[in-house]
Amino acid sequence: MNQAIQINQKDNVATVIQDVSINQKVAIIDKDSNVLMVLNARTSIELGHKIALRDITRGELVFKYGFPIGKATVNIKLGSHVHIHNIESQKGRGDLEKISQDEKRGC
Amino acid sequence: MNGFSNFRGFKRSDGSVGIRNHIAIISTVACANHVVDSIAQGYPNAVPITHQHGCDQLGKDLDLFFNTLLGIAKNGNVAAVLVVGLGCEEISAFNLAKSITKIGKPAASLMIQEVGGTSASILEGKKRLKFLCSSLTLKEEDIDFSKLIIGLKCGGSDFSSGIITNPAVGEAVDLLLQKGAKVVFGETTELLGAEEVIRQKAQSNKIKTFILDKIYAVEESAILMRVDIRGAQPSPGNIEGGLSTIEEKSLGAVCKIGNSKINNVLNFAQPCCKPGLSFMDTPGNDILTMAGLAAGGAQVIIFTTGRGTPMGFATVPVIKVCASPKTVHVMKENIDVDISPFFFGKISLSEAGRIVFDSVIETARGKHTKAEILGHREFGIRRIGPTL
Repeated sequence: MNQAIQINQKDNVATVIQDVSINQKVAIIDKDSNVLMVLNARTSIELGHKIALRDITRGELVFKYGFPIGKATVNIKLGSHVHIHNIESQKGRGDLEKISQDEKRGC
Repeated sequence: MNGFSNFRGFKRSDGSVGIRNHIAIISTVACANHVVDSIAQGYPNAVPITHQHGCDQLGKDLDLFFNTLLGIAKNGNVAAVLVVGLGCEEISAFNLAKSITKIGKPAASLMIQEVGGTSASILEGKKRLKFLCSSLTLKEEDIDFSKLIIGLKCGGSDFSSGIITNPAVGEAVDLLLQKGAKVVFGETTELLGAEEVIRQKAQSNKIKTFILDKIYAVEESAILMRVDIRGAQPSPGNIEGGLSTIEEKSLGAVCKIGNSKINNVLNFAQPCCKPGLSFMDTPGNDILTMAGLAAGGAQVIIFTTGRGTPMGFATVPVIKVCASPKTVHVMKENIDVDISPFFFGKISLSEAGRIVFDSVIETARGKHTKAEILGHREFGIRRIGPTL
């Protein structure tokens, strides 16, 4: 069976270590290879990419390594591919600063 | 390879130690690059150190440039130095050579405008190089681990970097520190998002504040430029490799420092003198980070990669560690340590850590890295001011 590693128990995503096709079963394992759960992939997920371990609501933090790696930009369903199309960074966002500066200037 | 407590190396007069014997031919200005390259031709131990800078630099930027070149020259892997300048630039080749001889390292200089053009300078440079080589007395001795400075770097990261490659290097770092070696990590940009890890690992408030301030300065520079740091971090290659945000990349990258406390902090290119784990403020950029680490005294660099990179460094062996099953196949000739068997359940994290540790010892004992064998001698200069 395909596998995905959940690095920290706080994490709501795991990293798949094979290419996963839609509807395939994925065993979620910890770093010592213990199987934590099995779930169905809602989308295809490329090797090294992330799978959602539960439903994640828009605006909710996404955790990997036990720490936030970004924020969900849309609602993400359990078993879906989690990447730049549905989460975004909260760091070094000069573009957001630009928007607020422009707003301040009334542009 | 259990049980050993030392390696073979070359003692230098300033107390540093080399695991290689390079003669560095340093260009103080881009105008001298061709002469430097030509002098080095035919001498396998001569390493040309060339770059695009050295002219119209001022203030702190000029100081950093000088300190970087001086640090590279002082590195234990460098046995002797020939400095080549044009003659009208800000840093005089003569003064740089003088600063090197002050620590007892053989050094000579020449200026192209004084010697009289390209051909005469190449001829004169080869003469001085020959003289430098003949004056060297090199004796390999047993060296204690405390003399070894190991730099850490990751480049071309992907999912495998944070899951196994960096954690395996972290295990090796724990072992190296236990043996008394010094370890330096940098890449301030790749701590953005890993601030909590720094808070937990900094040994004192002073160290924590130093590092966090440097991280905020990087974030601030993106904000001042009114740009989204995602334009460069993570890179398109990182994203294809599964990394979605800089936070994810950073949290994976920081695993390579292992479980020890950070007990020392350094500015870019500052010499690493204290034992233990040090942080150096460097950019995320591969070649510039390695230049800072080498200028700080690192005689060997452990370089983790997911997507693979061929880059080496002019005077320092660079060990490539990779766990991506695809990359170790596609970029085979560039990878020194293959820990991809982890993904097939064939090795554990601690076994992978031991393999990395052993590779450092073998490299310190003289085994050439892939980058050395392939002739990689990259070098770069970090700039913090404009060219006027």
